[in-house]
Amino acid sequence: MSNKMNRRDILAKLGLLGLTPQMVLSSCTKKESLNQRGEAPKSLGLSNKSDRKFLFVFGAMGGASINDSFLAVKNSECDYSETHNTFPDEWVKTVEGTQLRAVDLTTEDIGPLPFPVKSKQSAFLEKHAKEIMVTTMEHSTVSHPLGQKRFLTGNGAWNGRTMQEIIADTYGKGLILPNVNMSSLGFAEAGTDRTLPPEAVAEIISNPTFFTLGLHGYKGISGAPEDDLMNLARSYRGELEKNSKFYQTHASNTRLRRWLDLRSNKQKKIENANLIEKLLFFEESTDLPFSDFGINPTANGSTVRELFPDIGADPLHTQAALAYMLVTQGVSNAVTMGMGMNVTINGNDPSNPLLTNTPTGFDYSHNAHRATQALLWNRTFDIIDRLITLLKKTEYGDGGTIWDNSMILIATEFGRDKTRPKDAEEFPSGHHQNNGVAVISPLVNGGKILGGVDPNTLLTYGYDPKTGASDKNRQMTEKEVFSGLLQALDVDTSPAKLPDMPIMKKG
Amino acid sequence: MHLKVLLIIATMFLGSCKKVKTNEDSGSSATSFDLVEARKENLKLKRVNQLTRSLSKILAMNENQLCLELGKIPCTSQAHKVSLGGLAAYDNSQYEYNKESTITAPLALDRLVLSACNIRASLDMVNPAQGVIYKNLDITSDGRITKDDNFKKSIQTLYQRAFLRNPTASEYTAMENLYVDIYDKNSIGVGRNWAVLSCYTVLSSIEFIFY
Repeated sequence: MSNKMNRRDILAKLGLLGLTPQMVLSSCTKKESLNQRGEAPKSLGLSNKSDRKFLFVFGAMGGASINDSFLAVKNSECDYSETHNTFPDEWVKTVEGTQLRAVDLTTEDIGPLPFPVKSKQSAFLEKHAKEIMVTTMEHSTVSHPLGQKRFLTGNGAWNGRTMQEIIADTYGKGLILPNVNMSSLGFAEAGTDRTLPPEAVAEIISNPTFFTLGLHGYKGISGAPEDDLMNLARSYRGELEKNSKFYQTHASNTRLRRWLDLRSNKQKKIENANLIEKLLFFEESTDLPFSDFGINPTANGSTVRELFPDIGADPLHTQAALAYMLVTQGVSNAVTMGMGMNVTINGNDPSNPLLTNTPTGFDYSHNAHRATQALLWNRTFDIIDRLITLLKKTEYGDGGTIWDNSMILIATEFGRDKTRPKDAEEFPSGHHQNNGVAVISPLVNGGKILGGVDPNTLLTYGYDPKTGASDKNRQMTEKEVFSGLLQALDVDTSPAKLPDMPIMKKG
Repeated sequence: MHLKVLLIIATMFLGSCKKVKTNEDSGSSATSFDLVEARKENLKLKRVNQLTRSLSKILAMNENQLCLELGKIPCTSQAHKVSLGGLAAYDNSQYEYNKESTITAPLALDRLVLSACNIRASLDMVNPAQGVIYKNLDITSDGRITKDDNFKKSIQTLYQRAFLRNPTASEYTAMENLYVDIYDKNSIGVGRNWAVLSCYTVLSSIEFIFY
């Protein structure tokens, strides 16, 4: 007897969870495979020369196992392959000139979830191998939120600042929203350094679909008085407040001061920059009648929608599209996104719905390790590839593209168990501190694996931070990885006395 | 010894019986004490649920009526929930409140309040006898408001509902001047615009959003 649900059952249950047919079964206008995506650079409006660096953090929620992607081990390489998470040799792909690996596999279901998985990691590897760097590491915990936060703070290495806060503080000065975070759980938590300038604290976005609609105080509100009347009312408000007993009583209150400062400075900047329209990449439609409300979506929207055709319905398409807009419109330089804990389904073909996120993300490996890892690594690569394609199309500085100054970090909180029941093709896995991290950037020592993996235990080991020579008796810490990534982004880490990790930076 | 203690206690009691003069007692021009600035950092910004409930009660509107982006997306439960200090725990597994007000909070607040005031003003204009704030305003055929008792009463009602107090003389004058200035800039629809903007001015002010 089988407990498996069919796809119709799953959709019915999702309905009970409040996921409407529109959310689940949105239509898609265009699909492109990886190798069909264009590469021609194109100006999207960003032209000023700058030394700014851009950090994109992709939160791979739930434990993305490096043994199921770049550090996969073949059955023939392991003396205990029947009880370890190794793969048939023909599934493991390599690319000439690098030791990085990829796993291509196909399954009919994800444990009890009757959705097919067609994972072709090799397409991503072939396209980006030269800019992919994998560093091994040992996490300090197997708790999801703690692991996520510790990864992004190097386990508190810089007074509790997150990597994004440091990049926003270092390279985001003058930007309106330097640090934006659309992710979840520990990836969405702020750092703990109270000395951090408030501008570098992340602006949390829970719903990237509607976020842009809130970037003006009155534009797009039906029946709102015209500009000069709004300015008049605001001026009266300011005067009335200044003369009020309330203000006189609390004039030096920190929260009040911050509010008034945001209102008189940031709000004006955001409104004057017309971000409500500049960041709006959706297309006018009967469902989204922007013009009825006096809003005109950006002319660049079609370029973004071409690469992210499922914006609105697909959370990752929407997040990545907004990340791109925020960076290329000169609003942000540290953007965090990522798969959340919620199920998402691509219903472009209602008779053949596809799962795009499992319940709890990579942590569904507790139920079905192999298929979950295959599905979500593939999904991660697909989103990142689309984003890179757009960034490479966007001119920046003196003849370059914005990608030249960017880093995409696949952040995860821990690895997964290395073993499996004897000869099991699908199996559950628990959390494991041992893992590795992948970074894609022209700024890192690309095409490299820093450290290595023991083929008989699948445990990763470290390396010399200066020469990169593998060291089987060493494990890389959160602090070292944190430091190395910041140094690759040309951040001066000496104030925090972080370890020197020159091998991670492009030589 | 015992006598000394009794005398001190008696003095304290007598002192406490002295009536403290306030503005209301002595008229708006006299003050019996100077305002002292609060020394504690105990001011808090209303979060989205407090804002929603307060506005709903003050404007006598259903919470879902207050603000809808594009005419259908609820501002407080969806579009601007986190900007307004809410949590997206179920939607996005975000379990920590922002420690400080977000950069986009003043924008989101303006949209929420302006939308709600817009609807309240429209409802009161359409049915003046049932008006909640702008009750029985005498609107002329060209959109002006007659400055009669109902006009004054509407300012008073606005402040009473928003702050549970009457407007001060200067606040009252400011509201009248707002009308004049709106008229000077654009006489068309001045009555309705004044109703919307007087409501917005009060309900987006620091006195309303902090507690």
